[in-house]
Amino acid sequence: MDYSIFYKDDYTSPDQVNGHWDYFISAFNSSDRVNNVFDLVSADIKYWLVFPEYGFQPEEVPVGSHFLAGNDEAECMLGFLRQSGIQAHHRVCIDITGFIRPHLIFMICWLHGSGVKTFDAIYSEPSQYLKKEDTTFSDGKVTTIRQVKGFEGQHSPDLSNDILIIGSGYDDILISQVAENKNNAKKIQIFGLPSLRPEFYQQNILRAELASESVGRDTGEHHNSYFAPAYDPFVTANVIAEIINKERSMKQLSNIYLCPLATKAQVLGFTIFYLYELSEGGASIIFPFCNKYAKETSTGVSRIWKYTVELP
Amino acid sequence: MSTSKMNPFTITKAVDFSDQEIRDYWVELTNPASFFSEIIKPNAAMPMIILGGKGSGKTHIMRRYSHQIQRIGGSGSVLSDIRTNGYVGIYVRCGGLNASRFFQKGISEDIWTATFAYYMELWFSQNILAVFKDCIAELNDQEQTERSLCNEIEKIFDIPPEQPLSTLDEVINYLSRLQKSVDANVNNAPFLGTLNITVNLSRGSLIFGIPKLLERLFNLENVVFLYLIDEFENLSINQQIYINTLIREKQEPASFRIGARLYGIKTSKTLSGGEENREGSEYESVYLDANMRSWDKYATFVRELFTKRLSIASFIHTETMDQGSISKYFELVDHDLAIREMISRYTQNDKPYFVKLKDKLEAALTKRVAPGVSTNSDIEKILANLAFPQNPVLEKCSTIILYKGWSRKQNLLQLSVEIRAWSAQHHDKGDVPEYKKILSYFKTDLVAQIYRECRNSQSVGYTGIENYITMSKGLPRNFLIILKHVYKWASFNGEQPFGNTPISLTSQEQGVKEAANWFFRDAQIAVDNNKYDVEKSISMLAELFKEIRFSDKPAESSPCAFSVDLTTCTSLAKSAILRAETLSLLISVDDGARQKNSMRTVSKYQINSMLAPRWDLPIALRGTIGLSDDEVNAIFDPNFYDDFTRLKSNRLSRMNAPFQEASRAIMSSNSAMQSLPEEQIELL
Repeated sequence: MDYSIFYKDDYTSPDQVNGHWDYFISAFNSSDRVNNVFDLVSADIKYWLVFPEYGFQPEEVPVGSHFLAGNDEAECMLGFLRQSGIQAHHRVCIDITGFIRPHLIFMICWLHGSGVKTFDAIYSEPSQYLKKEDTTFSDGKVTTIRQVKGFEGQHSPDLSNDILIIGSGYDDILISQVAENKNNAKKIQIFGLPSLRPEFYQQNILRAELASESVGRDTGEHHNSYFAPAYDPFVTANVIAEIINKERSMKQLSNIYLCPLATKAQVLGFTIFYLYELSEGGASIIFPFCNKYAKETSTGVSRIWKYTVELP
Repeated sequence: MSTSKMNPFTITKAVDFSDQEIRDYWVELTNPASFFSEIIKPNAAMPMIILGGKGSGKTHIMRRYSHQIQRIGGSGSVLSDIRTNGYVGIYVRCGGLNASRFFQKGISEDIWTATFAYYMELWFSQNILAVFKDCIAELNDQEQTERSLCNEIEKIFDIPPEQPLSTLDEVINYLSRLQKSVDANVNNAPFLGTLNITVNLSRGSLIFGIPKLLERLFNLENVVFLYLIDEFENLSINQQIYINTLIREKQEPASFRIGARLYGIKTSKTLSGGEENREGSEYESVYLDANMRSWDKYATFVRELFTKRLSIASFIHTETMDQGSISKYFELVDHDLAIREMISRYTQNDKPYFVKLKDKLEAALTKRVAPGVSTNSDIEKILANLAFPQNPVLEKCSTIILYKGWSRKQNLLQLSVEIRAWSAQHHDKGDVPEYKKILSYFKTDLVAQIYRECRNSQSVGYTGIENYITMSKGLPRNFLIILKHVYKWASFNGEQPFGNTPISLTSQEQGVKEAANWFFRDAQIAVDNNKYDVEKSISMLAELFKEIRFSDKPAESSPCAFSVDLTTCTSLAKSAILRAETLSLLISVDDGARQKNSMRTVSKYQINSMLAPRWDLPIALRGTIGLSDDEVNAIFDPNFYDDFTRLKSNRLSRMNAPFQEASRAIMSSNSAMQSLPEEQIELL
């Protein structure tokens, strides 16, 4: 399947984002790139979701926001989604910019399970990360590394040819942690190139290099590093397909693990690919979970993307 | 040799090795017996827990004893090899179970425990049958035995399969289908809030039942069926309880070897009436890195690792090299010569240690806190008395003796006159006790101080293969990682490592520092839910040691260890210290003694030598700093972090001229001083 046939548009300001939706869902944080889009997008019902991991107090968020609660991404999201009123025929738009990754992944799984065939996703690129390559996105310790609910697969006891595909972002500790968690797997990294801003790629590589010992064998060699545009979920999905096809051509894979740590656009690409091609087999999406995330990690807005996602 | 060769130390983890490489890179010392066989005891029925720090070699050892590796290089008959060996190793990684999904999702803990137990039965039995699928063709009566085995396995299930099973492939496929059905249920649990699983096996029925059948049907009497369960730390408490229960209820011919990180054992409880497993009764424990550290052949072992790597990478054409030949690959430094060269760049009055002393004496003169010093002329006389231009190390030693006298409030001018005579005598005869003592115990520190005072960026004591061995602290992976980085830097600097020219000091230094930074960062990777910040604590501790080492009058030679009473510090501080130990950031100084005498209240820990280059600390253990409870809490308990700077300053004021805080402290006998260990008070 060629995922690049899916539609995507880019805009330079939120008021250019065209379309009207029945439901618009966004994750509240302190970033202008999230707030401006929320205000200007046209939808019958708009939801602000407040994730406990950002640590917002009620007085800090807009009136009517939904405070999510639960032990994990499934409990958090199901608590909201089951009362959201969203049904298969509704036009849904999600601003994925401020979402916490596993929650976003789970929500897409729920939409798929609910019969939603298509939805729009908005992603706003930042102009700059606050501390360049030293920016940390998780704001606390990783408490567990596990599969995202709904993406847990049916794994094989034969672990001899496992692969782990990491969408490598800025947080080298997270890269190391997932690599060590699946330490027997062959690790393949996807870097964001073209990156959101020209300098982001170099910053990304500098950080990822710190994880090279954990990533292990063949680190830095060309065939274990791939590239996909940081802003393009569909090309990202194509690159994952290319990796898996190439690996399968060499030997039968025992288990496949995906771990999207880079941009939300790439997270979307990982999720779409899983739902289309991996949901029946020994494959999972894994993630290092933190209790806290930084409320803001970037400044300014660069491009705004709208992706039209079609689900299997 | 060409630098285009692959770095022979690129692979540092056993998980990155293929089965063949596990065997090829294996180093075994067999004099008098196989060290690793003595550790893992593959023929013993008693279960064993193998604990080790990251990089201690657990995975390599456990894989080495697995069937997958044993069959490589075997006789061609798997069954006869198993009979000869007396064991068959079934290697299982807990990481592959993705065990964290058997949790929450609105399902009760009891149901998860039962589900996990069932899942483990299915998972383990697929693993063991996969091993014997390899060798079924070796049986004379293959068809009949295979059918018998399948029939017997069918009978183990409470509800037999709908279709009879007649081949091992069919049994494995049946188990796989059951497992996938559990997977699907577990995956749907978040959406449905329920599990629809029929558990049709009792606990251990396949895990113990299949080995019994294989023993009987394949004529494998006296063979131990060894479940090698690695990465035990990846299981939750309840899941470990289940495995503990299997260990407790073990049925021969099966047995277990459990591999876990030092922090990996979360409980010793079982499901057997709430009983706990006891070491010596239900299982044995092996502390792998402690064993390695106390092993008299550890240095020989890692040298052979080194030689084997070079041999496989075709740098050399032999698998044995003597110590001297290996040492030649690394440039070594003559510190006395280097210091003479460094100091020769200064005039007598500009020598950095004299400039520092002069500054301190002048400041003290103003405040009238330098005993016996009344004028600037006295200072000049003191400096002249300490001068011994032909031997800078002796001059440095003389300054230390003067600082010691200062701390005791001796008349410094008079003392300097004596020092003048002593230094000349020691230079001629080497028999002045004060100099002998300092040069014997503190020389490395003096050299390090001179390097630092001369702003020489080179560190002291981190080059050469013998130092790498010391730094690795019983963790062979650390040894390999140092070499990996040294090789990398040497190549980057245009050298030809392991060729005809030794690897330069610069490349060694760069490599060692990078390895140290990796090691410190690596500790942050361990997932931890606790409230302490071990990395911050180690940084504070190392900073304290560093400042003591570079103080005017170091209290201890080569400070890199501390003693602590774990019964009197806060519980959070104690937890942080123990956590640091399990991460190998701290090493218990006498592992053996601690295990033998758990009632002892004072424990001693050394900062892992891998970290030494990061803070310019020594790698060899000599001095142990006794930390007060207040200091321990300030370093390891987040609730007291704010006290650290003050307490550190208090301690260092007793080691740096003009030693005023020490005097006041002695006079006031405050509570912090009362809690100081005896050796510290004595030194004052």
